[in-house]
Amino acid sequence: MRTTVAAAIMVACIGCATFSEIRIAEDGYLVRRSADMQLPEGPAGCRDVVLLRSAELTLANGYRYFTASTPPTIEEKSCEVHVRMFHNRPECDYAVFYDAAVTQKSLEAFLAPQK
Amino acid sequence: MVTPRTHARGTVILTLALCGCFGTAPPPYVPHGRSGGYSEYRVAHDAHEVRYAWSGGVGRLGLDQLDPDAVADFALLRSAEVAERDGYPYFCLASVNRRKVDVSYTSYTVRLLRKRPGGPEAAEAGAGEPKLYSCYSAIDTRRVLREKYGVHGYSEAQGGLP
Repeated sequence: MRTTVAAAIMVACIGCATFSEIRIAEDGYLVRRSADMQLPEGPAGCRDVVLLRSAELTLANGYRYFTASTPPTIEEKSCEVHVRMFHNRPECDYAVFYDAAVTQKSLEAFLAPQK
Repeated sequence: MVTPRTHARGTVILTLALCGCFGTAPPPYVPHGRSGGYSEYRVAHDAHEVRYAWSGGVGRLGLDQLDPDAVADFALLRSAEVAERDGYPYFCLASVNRRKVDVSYTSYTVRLLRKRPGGPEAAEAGAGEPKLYSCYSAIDTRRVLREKYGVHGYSEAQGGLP
């Protein structure tokens, strides 16, 4: 019984510590995940998981496109993106507007072999 | 006055300096495998996330002796190959992420362009660390970086251009 409770607490703590999303505006989120080497995707895949979650949030909120800006720091223990969602793709020569449906499909295929 | 002891000390210092200069090596330019390599996935019809990651050493060299410029350059080389494969002559870096702790990697969010962009500064491959919002000619970048590292072509089945 004691072992079961300890295991449940441990799982809950890992869940809390590794992933979070905060709604920072009507059309924006802060999505963050720790880059724990024990996670299946490893540190290099931390951004992938965050982008996949960003695409899911964009579609769930009825938007088609999003931008994902990252703080200009070297990723060590965590990675995060500031997500802004759009119904229509804005015109800009060199920025990237993620197509949420394309990103979700690509990332599900890209991450599948690592699971 | 030069004594045998100062001469020996000078030799040690010179050796250490040479190791510092020549003690790094580029990892192999290969599709992502067990120890790493390049990989990418599409995020829009004109954009990809492109990455080069390496978690092993090279020969007798450890991860801390990997040439960091090579890791960044290989992500740039793959970006150029992806742009050419998709029929775009130019590309810009819309985000840059690097890490060098337990794995060495560089990833770029790459926007593909049909025309030379007017706003951002045009950048030259192999001339320093690629920066955010730098824009490149795909064909020039591929040629310069392949020559710099002696990279030969890969078949499309392996994920590269001939």
